[in-house]
Amino acid sequence: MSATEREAVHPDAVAALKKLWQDTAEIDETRWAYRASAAVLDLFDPKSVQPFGAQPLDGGYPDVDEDCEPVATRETSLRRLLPEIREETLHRLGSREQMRAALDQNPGPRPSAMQRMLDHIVRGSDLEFETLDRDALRALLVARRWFGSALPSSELPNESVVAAAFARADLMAPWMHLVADGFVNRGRQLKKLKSFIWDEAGSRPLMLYGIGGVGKSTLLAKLALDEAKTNGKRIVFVPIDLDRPNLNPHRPHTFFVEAVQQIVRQLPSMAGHGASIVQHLRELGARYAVSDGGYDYESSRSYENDYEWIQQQLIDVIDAFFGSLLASDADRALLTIDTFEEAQLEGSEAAGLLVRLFDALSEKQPRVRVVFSGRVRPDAPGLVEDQLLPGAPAILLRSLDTRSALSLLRKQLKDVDPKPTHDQLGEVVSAVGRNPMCLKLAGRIIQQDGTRAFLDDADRKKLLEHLRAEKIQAFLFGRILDHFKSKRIRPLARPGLIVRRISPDVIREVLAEPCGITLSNSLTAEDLYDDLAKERTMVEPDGTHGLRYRPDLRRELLPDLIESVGRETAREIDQRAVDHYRRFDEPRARAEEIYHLLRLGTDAKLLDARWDPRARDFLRGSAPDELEGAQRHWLARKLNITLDSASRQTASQDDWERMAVVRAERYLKRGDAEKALAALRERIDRSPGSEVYQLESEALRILGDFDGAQETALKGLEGASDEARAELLLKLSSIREAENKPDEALQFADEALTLTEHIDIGDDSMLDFRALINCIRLLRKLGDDDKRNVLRARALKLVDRKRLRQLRDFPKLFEETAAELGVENPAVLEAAVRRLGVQVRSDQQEAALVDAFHTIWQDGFEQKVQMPKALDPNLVVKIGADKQAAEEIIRQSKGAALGKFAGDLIKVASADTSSATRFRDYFRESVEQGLKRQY
Amino acid sequence: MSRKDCLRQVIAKYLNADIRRMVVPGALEDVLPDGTTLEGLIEKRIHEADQSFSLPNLCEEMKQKNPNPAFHNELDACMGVGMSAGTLTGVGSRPRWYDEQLPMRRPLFDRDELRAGLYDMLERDPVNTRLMTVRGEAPGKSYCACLIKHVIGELGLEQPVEIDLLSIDSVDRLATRLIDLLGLSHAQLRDRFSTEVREGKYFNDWLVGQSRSFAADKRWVIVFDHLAKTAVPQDVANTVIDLALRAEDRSLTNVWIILLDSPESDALIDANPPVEEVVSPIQQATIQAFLARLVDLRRAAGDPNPEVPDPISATLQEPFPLATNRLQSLRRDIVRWMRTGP
Repeated sequence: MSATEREAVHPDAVAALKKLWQDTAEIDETRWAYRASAAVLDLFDPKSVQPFGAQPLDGGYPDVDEDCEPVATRETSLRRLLPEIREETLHRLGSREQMRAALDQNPGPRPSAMQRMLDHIVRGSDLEFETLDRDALRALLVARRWFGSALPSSELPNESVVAAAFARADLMAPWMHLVADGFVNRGRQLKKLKSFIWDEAGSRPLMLYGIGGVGKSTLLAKLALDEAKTNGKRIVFVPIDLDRPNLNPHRPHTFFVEAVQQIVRQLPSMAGHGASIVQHLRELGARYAVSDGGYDYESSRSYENDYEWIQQQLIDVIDAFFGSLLASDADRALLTIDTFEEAQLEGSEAAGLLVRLFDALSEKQPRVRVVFSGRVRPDAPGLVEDQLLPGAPAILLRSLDTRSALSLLRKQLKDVDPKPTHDQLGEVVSAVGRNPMCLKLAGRIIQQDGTRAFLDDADRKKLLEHLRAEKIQAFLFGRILDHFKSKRIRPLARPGLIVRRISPDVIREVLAEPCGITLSNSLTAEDLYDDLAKERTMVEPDGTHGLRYRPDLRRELLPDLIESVGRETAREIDQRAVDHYRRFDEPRARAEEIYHLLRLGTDAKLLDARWDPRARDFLRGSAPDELEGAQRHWLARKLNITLDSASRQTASQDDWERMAVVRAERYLKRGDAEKALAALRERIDRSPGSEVYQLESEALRILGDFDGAQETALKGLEGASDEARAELLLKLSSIREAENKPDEALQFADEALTLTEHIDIGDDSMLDFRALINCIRLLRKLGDDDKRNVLRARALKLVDRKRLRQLRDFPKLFEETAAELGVENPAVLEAAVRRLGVQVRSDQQEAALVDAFHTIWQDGFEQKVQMPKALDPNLVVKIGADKQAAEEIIRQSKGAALGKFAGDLIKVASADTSSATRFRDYFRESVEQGLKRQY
Repeated sequence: MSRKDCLRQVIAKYLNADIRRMVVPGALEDVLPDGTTLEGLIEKRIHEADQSFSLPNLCEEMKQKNPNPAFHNELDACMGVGMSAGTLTGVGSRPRWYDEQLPMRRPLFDRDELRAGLYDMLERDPVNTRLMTVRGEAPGKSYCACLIKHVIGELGLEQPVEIDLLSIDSVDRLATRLIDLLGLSHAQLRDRFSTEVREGKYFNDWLVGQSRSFAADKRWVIVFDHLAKTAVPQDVANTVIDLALRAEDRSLTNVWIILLDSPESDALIDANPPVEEVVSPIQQATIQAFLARLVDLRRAAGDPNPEVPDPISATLQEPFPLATNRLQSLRRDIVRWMRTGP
C-alpha cells in the first residue's frame, strides 16, 4: 500500500507523536539499577533496597509507585515490582550471572515461597517438585513466567511438569482441609470404597448417601488422600462438585468437559487429546437447545433420533478419552460426583440422564469408577422412576459409632483448657448424638464457652439435663441457637428462624414483637443484627446487606421449631414478613414475600398477581420441600421443577398440565418421545388451549404418527392464545413439510408469520424469526424466488450480533438460518460451525462437507488459520488441490472437533461465494434430513 | 478537550436564535421550568447523559429534534464518529479513541472485536453489556489492557480495577484485593468472615449486596487477567467466574467485568457473553500496515529518516505467527522506535 493510498495523517496524531518524543525521557541508569535488584526480589522495602550497579539514593527507590504495587502486609511499606517491568528488567539483565549478582546485592532472610523460588531460578539449583507444597509450586509457575523471555527454556524448570504438580497439589488442598477439620474411623466404608476402586471386575456407579453433615465429602477426601499415596498403582482423581459454576445438570456434556479438564491439569501429556475432546464435547453439547422457554424452536429437529445420537456420541467421545488415559497414564480413574442432590432437586429427568451417561461410561471402561454422593437415597424420587441403578452398589453413611464420636470430639477439643474428661465427652455425645457435623458444632460451642461448665456441678447438670431432655437432632441446632454468645439475640433464632433472611429492618418490623424483643435506644435492631452476624455457625451473608440462616441447618430445624413456638406465632411472623417485603420492588424482596405468602396458604390467583420471574433464583433450593399441597405445586410450576408422582396425582388440572409440560419437554430434549407421551397421558382431560396439545402433537410427530400429531395440533388450536396458535401452525407446517407437501406447509407457516406480525411476543422471542426462516425455506422449495427474496432481505436485516448470540441457544434454528442466509451473510455460517461443529451422519452430509473443505482451501491459508491438532497438517494443506485429501480428512475425523477450523476457514475466505455456497449446502442437507427424520 | 467539553462548545456555537427556534420549541419548551435557562438545562442534560453513559444517545436525540446538517456534522465530529482520518487506521463507526493504535503509547494491532466490544460496554449499550471476555491461544491478551485504560481515560471515568490473578493465591486474598480496590470496608468483611474467606460464592453474595450502595454516578470496570492460567487456584478461578456471571446477569450493580486471558469455561459459554474477543495470532500483514502508517506519521511529524529500523524489519522476515517472546521483543523495538524522535 502506498502512502497516497492510505488515509491522510491527522494533525492530532502528529501532535501526539511529537509530544511523545518530548515527554519520553529515557529511564535513567540509577532507576534501572533499582529495578534490577527489585526484579529478583519478591518484596522489598523501597527505602532500604540496594540498587544493583549504582550508588543508593538518599530517598531510596526513585518513582517507586510508577514501577511497583504496594503489598498489604504488616510491613505496609513493602512493594512488588510490576510483572511487566520485572520481565523487561530480567530481559535487560540478560544472563543468570547478572541476575545472581543482583540478588547478592540484597542478601537476607527469604521468608516467602515466591522468594525461595526466585532464588532457585536465579541460582539454577535443582528442585524436587514432589517436595514442594501448593504455594511453592504456584510461586514457581509464576516466577517461571517472569524469566520466560530472559533465560532459555532449557535452563528453567519444565513448565508442564510444574503445572501438573501444582494441579495435583491444588486438587488435594480442599481434601486436606476437610480431613484436617476432623476425620475419625470410617474403616468399614473406606475398605468398601477401596475395594470398589480396585476390584478387578468392573462396577456400576456407587451411590454414597446420608444426611447432611454425616461426612460424605470428608470420607471421599480421606479416600482420595489415602489412595494418592498408593505406590505402584496409579489412580487419577476427578472430583466433580455440583456447586461449581461450570456444571449444569441440564447440560450433561459440562460434566464430561469438567472431568477432561481436571485430568489434563494433572496430566499435561493428555493436553492435545484433551483439547480436541473438549471441543468435540462442546460441539455436541451445543446441539442441546439451551433455553427453558419452549420445546419447539426447531422444525427440523428429530428429537428422538437427534438426542439419542448426541448422547451416544457423548459417551463415545468420553469413552475414547478415558480409554486413552487408562491405556498409558493410569490404572484407575475415580470420578466422584458430590452434592448430587442438587441434580435430583432439578427433577428425575436431569438426574436420570447424568446417571445414565456415567453408568454407560463405567460399563464401557471397567477401570473407571464413579461415585455419586448426595443426601438422597438412590431409590428416592428422582432416581426410582427410571430404575436407573438397579443392583448398583450403595453405601449408607450413618452417624458415627460412640467410640468414633468420642474420638472426633476429643480432636475438636484438643486445645481447650482444661481438657474435658472421657466421661464428660461421653455425656456430651449421649446428649447431642453422633452426627459428625453435630459433634463439630457442639465442639465449637464448648470451644467458645470453655469446659468450665463441667467443673460446676450445677452448671454441668443443667447443661446435660437439657441435652438429655431433647435428643432429636433439631435440639442440637436449638442448642447452638441458645449458645449464641449474645444472649439477647436468642429469640431471633427461636422463633425468628421462621424467616429465611434477616436485616435490621426485618428485626424491627417482622420479628421484634412476636419474638418478645423490646427495642430501645440502648438495644437497637442494628445492635442485634451485628451480634447475629458474628454467629458464623448459623448465619451467612446474603446479597442484600443482610444475613440468611444457613439453609441446611434451617431445613433440619424448621418442623420442630414450628411445633415448639406454636402455629399462631408462626403465622404472625409470616404475615408481618409479607407486609414488610411487599413495600420493596426488587426480586429478592419479592421472593421472600412469595415464600411467606406460600407458607400462609395463599391461593394461586393472588400468588400469580405477586409473581416476578426474577424471584425464581431466590426460591430454588429447599423452599419447595418446605411446602405442601397446592402451594407446593404452584411453586414447582413457577420454578420449572417436577415433583414426584404422588404429588402430581393430587395436583389440580392446571398444575398438573404445567408439570406435565415441563416433564414432557425434558423427556423430548433427552430424546425420549415415548416417555414424554406417557407423561402427557397420565391424564386424559385437557383445558382449552392447553400447552399439553403442543407437546403431545410433537411427541406423536416424532414417533411417526403424523395423523395423530395433526389431529392433536388442530384440537389445540381451539381456544389457544395467539402465540400458542403460531406455535401450533408452525408444527402443522413442519408435519406437512415432512410429508413432502411444501405448498400446504407454506400456508401454515405463512399464517404463523402473519400472526407473529400482529402480536407482542417480546424482544427475546424467536417465534417470528422461526416463522420467517420456515417460509423462506418453503418458498425456495416451491421456486417462488420473488417472494423469497423479499423475505430473505427482511431476515438478513434481523441478523445482527445480538441475533447470532440468541441463535446459539437454538441449534436447529441456527442450522436452518445458515442454510437459508449463509451465502449472503457468511458470518452466520461461521458462527454456526464454530458453535455446532460439523457432523457426519450420512453419506450426503459427508459429500457436502468434502466439497466444502475442498472448495474453500487456498494456498497460504495454513498461515492464516490455526491448524487442528488432531489432523495431519501435511494432509490439510492438500485439500484444496486434492479432493481425496479432503475426503480422507472428513473420513478420519467424521467431522469431530472441526468447528473452529471450519470457522477460521470461512472467516478468511469470506469473500469467496462459491465456498460459502458449499457450506450452506452442507447445512441444507443437515436440515433436510432432520425434517424427514432420515438420520 | 474532553468529549463533554467538545459537546458544550458545539451546542454553545449553535445556540443562536436559529438553534433556539429549532431546539426549544421541538424539544425543550414544554419542560423548561421557570427561571431555568436553556443553557442550564442543556448543561444538566449533558451531565445526566454523562452519568448514564449515554452521550451518544443525547446527541441522537438532539439530531432528531434539529435537522441542521451542519449541527449534525459537528456533533458527529465531537463524538468522534467519522473521524477515522484522525487515527492511524480508524473504522469510522465509533468514536476514534476506540481505534487508537498507540493506546498508552503502545502499539496495538488489530483487535477489532475488542474495540467494538469496549464501545458497546462503555457507551453504546452499557446496560446489556456487562461482561467481556478476551481469550484464545495466541499471545497478546493481557496486552489489551492498554486499550481499556486508554479508552477509560479518554472518557474521564474511574480507572479500571485491575487484578492479576497470578498474584492471587487464595479466595481470601482475592476478596481482600477487591475490598481494597473497590474502596470497601475491611471491617464489614471481617464481620462476616471472621477468619478468612474460603467460600467464594458467599463472598460474592456479600459483594453483590455491597454493590447496591455504590454511588450511582460511578462505574466500576474490573479487569481480571490470567484467569486461564494453570497457576490460578481452582477455587479462585471458580469465584471469579461466578462473579463474572453475576455481572453479566446484572446482580452486581454498577460493575462491568472484563476477563483478559479468559478460559473457555462452559459457564461463560452458556452465559453467552455479549462481547467475546478471540485473540488470533498477529499476522505479518497487520504489522506491516501498522508500520507503514507509523512511517507516514513520523514523516508528517518532521522525521527526515522515517523508515522502519533494521532490527524491526529483520523480525518481520521471521516466520509468522511469532512466538510470544519474539512478539514481545518486536513490540519493545517498535515502542522504542516510536518514542525516539529525530
